[in-house]
Amino acid sequence: MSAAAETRRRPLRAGEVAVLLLLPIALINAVGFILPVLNLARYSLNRARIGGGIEQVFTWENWTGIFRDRFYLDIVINSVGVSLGITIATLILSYPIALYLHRSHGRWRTFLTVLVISPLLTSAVVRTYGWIALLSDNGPVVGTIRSLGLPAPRLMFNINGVFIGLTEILMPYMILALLAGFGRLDPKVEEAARTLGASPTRTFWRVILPLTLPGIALGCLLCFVLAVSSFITPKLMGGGRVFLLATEIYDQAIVTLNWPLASTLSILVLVIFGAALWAYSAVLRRLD
Amino acid sequence: MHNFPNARSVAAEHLVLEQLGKSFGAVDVIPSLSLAVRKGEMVAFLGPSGCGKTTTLRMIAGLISPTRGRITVGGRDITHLPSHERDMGLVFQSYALFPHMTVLRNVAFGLEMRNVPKPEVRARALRALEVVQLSHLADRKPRDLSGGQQQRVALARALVIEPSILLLDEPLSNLDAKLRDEMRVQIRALQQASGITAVFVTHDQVEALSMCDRIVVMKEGHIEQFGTPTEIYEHPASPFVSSFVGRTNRLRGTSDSRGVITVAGQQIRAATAEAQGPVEIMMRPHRMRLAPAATDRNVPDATPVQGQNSLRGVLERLTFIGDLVQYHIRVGDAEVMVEEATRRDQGAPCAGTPVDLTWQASDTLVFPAAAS
Amino acid sequence: MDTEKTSWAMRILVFILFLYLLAPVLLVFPMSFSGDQVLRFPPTSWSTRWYSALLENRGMMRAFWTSLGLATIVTALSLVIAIPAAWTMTRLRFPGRDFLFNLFTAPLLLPTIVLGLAILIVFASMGLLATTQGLVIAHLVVTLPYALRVLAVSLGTQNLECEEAARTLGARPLVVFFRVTLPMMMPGIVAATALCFLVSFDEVVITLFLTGPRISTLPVELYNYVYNRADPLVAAASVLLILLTLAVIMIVERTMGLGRTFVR
Repeated sequence: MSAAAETRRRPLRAGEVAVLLLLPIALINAVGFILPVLNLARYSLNRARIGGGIEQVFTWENWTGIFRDRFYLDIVINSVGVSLGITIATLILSYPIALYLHRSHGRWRTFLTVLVISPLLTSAVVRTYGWIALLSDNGPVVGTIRSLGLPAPRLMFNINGVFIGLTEILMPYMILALLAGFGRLDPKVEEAARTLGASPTRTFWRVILPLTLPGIALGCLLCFVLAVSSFITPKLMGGGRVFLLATEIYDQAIVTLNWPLASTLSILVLVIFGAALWAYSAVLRRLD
Repeated sequence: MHNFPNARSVAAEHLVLEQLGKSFGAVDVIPSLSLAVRKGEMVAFLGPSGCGKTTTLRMIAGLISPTRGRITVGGRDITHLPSHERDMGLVFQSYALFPHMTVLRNVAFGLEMRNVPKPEVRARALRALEVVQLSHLADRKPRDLSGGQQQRVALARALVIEPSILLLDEPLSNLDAKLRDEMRVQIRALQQASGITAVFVTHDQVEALSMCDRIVVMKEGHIEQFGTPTEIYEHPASPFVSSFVGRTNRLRGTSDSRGVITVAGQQIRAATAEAQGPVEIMMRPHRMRLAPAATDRNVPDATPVQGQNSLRGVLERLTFIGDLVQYHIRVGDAEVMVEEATRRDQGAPCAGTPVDLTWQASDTLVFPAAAS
Repeated sequence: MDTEKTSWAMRILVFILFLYLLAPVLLVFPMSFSGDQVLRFPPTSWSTRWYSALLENRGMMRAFWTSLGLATIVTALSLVIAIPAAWTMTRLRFPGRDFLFNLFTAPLLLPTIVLGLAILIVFASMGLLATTQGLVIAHLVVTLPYALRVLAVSLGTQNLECEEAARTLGARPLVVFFRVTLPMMMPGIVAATALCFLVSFDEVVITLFLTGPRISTLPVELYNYVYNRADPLVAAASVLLILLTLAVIMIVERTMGLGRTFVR
């Protein structure tokens, strides 16, 4: 009501009070966010000096370099491809959990929700370490396959491990996004479809799936974006043999000390983010 | 509007609003409002939601500042005084009890703000709780209390600081019907016992009529009528007041120079005949009587009983609601409702039969028809 | 109620998927009691040797205390900075308010790998690399958006009439804030505290850019350890970390319920 809104306004000094109270957060935001991001954009247009540092010249050579050098082009294509694959795998593995959670009730639902969220609160290092233990040559997975008399696959220090690990690490995000989108899924709609004679499979494809598409789109956007920028898991499980955008940014920044190139790759990540966001809104528009 | 008041009326007029106005942006919520509340009296602001009654109350409390005009209490100008220096007790619709404090701490809050010595704070807060019969719940948190109990804590909290004015903002609207009746009596008793001046905002005419000394009927930011409950009910100043306070029948007719009003081709009279031309006439449903149409003497201009009006219509349907029976009668193209107390030996006429309506001419209110 | 609708096949599928989801976290518990020299599952023998090894690892222990101290400072500062900011955002009206709110929560949208690099470059020129101040500021960049959001929701859902009641009862603005507003937003403060603490304590990627031999945090040390070696020491550390997280969650759950804090 307008009367309630009015009380929030203070006489006179409201502006000064606001400035004073927002100053600390604005300062942190400026020093730790705005300035660094603007600087990043600038660095991507500067020339790197060998052994670190930059030359203050305006140049597009970082950008042209990326698209001329087969190595970097492969990294970009690889990153996007792997991330798309991981997103699809995450979706397929998360959907049944989300659907089951959506249909459960009361304490059981709370318990399962806690189970889904709890990995989110566990450090990525710990979870990646868990996967290393699971997938290493002395681990239970390889051990089981061997005991069945099958040839042991290599799951660690290649793209397989990264794929398996990241999929699991991103699942909670996907499940939560799907759950949020399932709000529109009324059990009665399903029952209605069933009473009209649709088989469970038909009900799924014709009723449940279309209704949950917005949630799917949101979950996919989230997971894709997180997969493209994930660093810990590819670095630890890739064993230096998996080259993705995020790991390359780190190596260029810390090992090679080529900050302009690292900055350029970072901006590229943001561009990919923008493209993903654009695709997402395009999908949403189609759905409406 | 207010000339220099003499000494007596200064004592009598406690809370005075002078051409008080409030605008939110370009919207004039309250154009100009003038009003004087006497000391020790309980006044209701009655009106539909959005009529500006709550905004006015919040301006009195200092929670919003008026765009123009003046507010004085006991002759002192408080228009620009911040809320915490105004010395007013406000009871909110949501009670607004502090959820993190016990009942006792809630009541003590206002006293602590006034730097009352600690032992006295406790004693006075406990006494206030005793008055509302809640001292046994002093150490509970508000969420452990029922709605009615919370309401009484809010009342105790507002009264313990002995404010110059008690403001109540729809205090009963969150209670169930039975509790509301109890609280009406209790609030009124407390107000009269302490002799405090009180302003009571409500959209419920029953609350306003039963609890308050005088009623301000508000509509779209201005005062439609200010008067005692009887005045408001018996002599409403406008069709709005008449239809907002109590149930009423509205009919359109034409008044001639002799004060005879033609309604649906039939003629009636009113006690006062000020208006000429198109008029709106109003009658209270329970002041009217219903009888089967007198078929044997079926002459339209049969001599009516002196001072009594009569209209012929057709009974459309009747509704039984316990104590009352409501008859809905079609007269021309209008519908008239008549209420009668239920009788065991009800020989009610059947729907579809012609009936005669009768009522006192003095119970007929006439207003110039709204230009529309 | 709806259990009959869910077929057994579906239940078994969901069970397997849950197993997959929780496998890495569950595995570290038995693994931490391994008696083996290297990472092997199932272990050939059981012991608590890796717990003692962890406690004797001076680098690891120093990093733990650094992380604990850092998270405490960052959490305290987050509250001190975010509470006034959240109050301003919800109680005052001024032009550009929504824009500022979006700006202040924007760091959450940036991938940490990008943010880490961006901060590294700027901090390098300011001499903030591998310093406590640098780490505190960098962590604040990510904790403040969380704190601001949680606290703004908490303040925004408060019954404003309580503050008005306090004012009419004679409380000055500052008294209203400290005696009514602040106590009433306690659940939000607890949630923000837990969130800030966990985010700061677990932060790796940005911190990785800013630490060096002089100063390091536990997650960074663990990362380096896993990068170089594969033995059960990290499993022991992981168990302790998980228990710490669990403790924090329990506190939040007790105070306001997990659902309200993390879901949605």
